[in-house]
Amino acid sequence: MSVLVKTDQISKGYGLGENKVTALQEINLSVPERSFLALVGPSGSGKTTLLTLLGGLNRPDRGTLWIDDIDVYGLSGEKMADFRREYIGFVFQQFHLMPYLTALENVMLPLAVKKMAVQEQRRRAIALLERVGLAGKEHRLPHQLSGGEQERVAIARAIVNKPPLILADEPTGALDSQMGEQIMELFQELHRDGLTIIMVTHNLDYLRYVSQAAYLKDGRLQKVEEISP
Amino acid sequence: MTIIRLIFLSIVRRGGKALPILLGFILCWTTFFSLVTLSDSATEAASSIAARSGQPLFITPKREQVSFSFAGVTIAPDIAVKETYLPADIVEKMQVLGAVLPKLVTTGQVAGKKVLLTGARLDDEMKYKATWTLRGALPQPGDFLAGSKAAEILGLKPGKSLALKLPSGSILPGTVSATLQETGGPEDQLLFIDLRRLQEVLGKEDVLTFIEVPPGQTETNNVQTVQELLGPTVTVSKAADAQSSRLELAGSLRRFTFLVGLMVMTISSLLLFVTTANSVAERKSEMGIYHVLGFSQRSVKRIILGEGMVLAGIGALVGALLGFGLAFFLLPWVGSEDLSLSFPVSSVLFGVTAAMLLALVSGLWPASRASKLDPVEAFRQM
Ligand SMILES: Nc1ncnc2c1ncn2[C@@H]1O[C@H](COP(=O)(O)OP(=O)(O)OP(=O)(O)O)[C@@H](O)[C@H]1O
Ligand SMILES: [Mg+2]
Repeated sequence: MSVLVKTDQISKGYGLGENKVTALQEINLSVPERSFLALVGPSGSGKTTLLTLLGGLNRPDRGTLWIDDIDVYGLSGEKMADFRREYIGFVFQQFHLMPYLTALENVMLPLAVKKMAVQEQRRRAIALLERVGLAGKEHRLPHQLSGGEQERVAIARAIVNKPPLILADEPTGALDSQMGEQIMELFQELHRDGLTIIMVTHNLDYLRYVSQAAYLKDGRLQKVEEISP
Repeated sequence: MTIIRLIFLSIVRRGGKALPILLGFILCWTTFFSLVTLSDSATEAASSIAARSGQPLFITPKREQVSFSFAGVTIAPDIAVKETYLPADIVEKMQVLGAVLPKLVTTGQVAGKKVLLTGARLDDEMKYKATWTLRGALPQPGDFLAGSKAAEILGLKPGKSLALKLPSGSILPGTVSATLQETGGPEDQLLFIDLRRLQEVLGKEDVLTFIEVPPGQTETNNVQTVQELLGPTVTVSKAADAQSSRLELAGSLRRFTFLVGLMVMTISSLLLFVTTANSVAERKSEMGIYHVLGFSQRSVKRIILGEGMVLAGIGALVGALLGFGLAFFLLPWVGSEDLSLSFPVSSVLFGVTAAMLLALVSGLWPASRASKLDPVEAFRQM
């Protein structure tokens, strides 16, 4: 299977001089297409930092990232934005929906900067909301939805552009275990449909849904293991 | 979803947030447009009155003594004491330029009451004085024509005969063939008779007291042109009458409006600058979402500027409508009732465009700052 994401010696620190904190050190990670990778590690081990670097939201101090053979950090600001839009769908623990847009409008949001007919946008967004189990709730504002439902809207929004890669930072962190399982099942379905997913999680129970697990500690990649279904 | 729809949704759904700035805009532009409407109407009214009645020129003899004023124009120091006259051949010189209304003025007494008797070419006067309306028959040479006030004071009616005592003591008899309806002008006070007849009676066939040039006779009724033609022995002047002071008033209202306009523009751009800068800080997390979703800096800038421009445009438009309404109520307070309002379409279009351009300019800096927020920084604040 071909490799979708590949990093070479990525290092990242925050702050300057004596206050400098090393968040990541020389990360070499390679994620094959169509895999479902869990990023696991204690708090402060650098999981979120790695995820933002993989998504091109941030640039490392050193190192290189290829996604689909594109040298991501070689892209200029505008090109990087285009790249994020086309290649990556982000899902966060805090759902980060636009508070004044309905579920449907939130899902359509990423399409606002694409030349796509509004009818086609609606059709796609409605189909996705149905897919994540929100049929009939398209016109609710975020505060009229439960946490799990908001998370589903965020997932639908992440995949509306049909990106090959989903980056998720503890998407179940704010949900109770039952809702968490449901969200994991949704991700599992997306994985089966051919998406590549990298997900940060604290919950080792959820490793049964994934195909690989990468362990981080003190900013270093300890090991990557295959998980058989 | 389109950027434009996004802008509208963010304004409409977050109504409360946009309301203060919108109200500020509306207030500013209401003030401005009510003034624009009023000054437009005042100017229009003043110039239409001026066009209807025009501004005559007066040609009078040059003199050094203290003068006495007639129709707002200096005519003679004191007719009774020392009379100065224009040579009658000036009329021929003036005829090159167009029609003139020559006049000879003397004092007289009717039943012991003093009156100014004016010799004039009454046919021509009737032709050029749009405000003159006769009550009675057209005067024949020898007949008197009485101004409304003069008729009232002297007790004159059309058809009544009259004996006027001249300064020389001789009596000038005649019939009042007509009276003039009130015009509000100097003629109200006067008694008229045919010019030639008065010249003969007074034995002053070759002189005139002054010459009136009715409006529209010389190209622009230009004082200088006429003065150059006639030379330095006469004085040419324009009446400083009600019309011109009306025009002056309208002019100062215009200048005031212009100043208020500048103030409105300054205030609204400050308003916009501050609110854009603030709302950007408040909406950091939204900026983070835009970045995460792959909106380019240019798109984010467009959204922020677009919101400001839409608000400014709506503010200017609503302000224009309210301002027009306000002007309607203020109208009796600033001017006479005959002012008519016309909706200043071009001013409104200009105002809305200017407001939106201002919003663009004053939002540029905050918007570009917002779009340059470090995506991770923005996203960590969420
Ligand atoms: N903006 C920042 N400025 C300074 N230090 C930071 C910043 N972001 C992260 N760090 C530090 O970098 C290290 C890695 O942080 P990171 O958020 O990646 O950890 P994490 O594995 O996601 O932790 P958690 O499980 O608690 O979310 C931590 O020591 C953290 O304090
Ligand atoms: Mg984290």
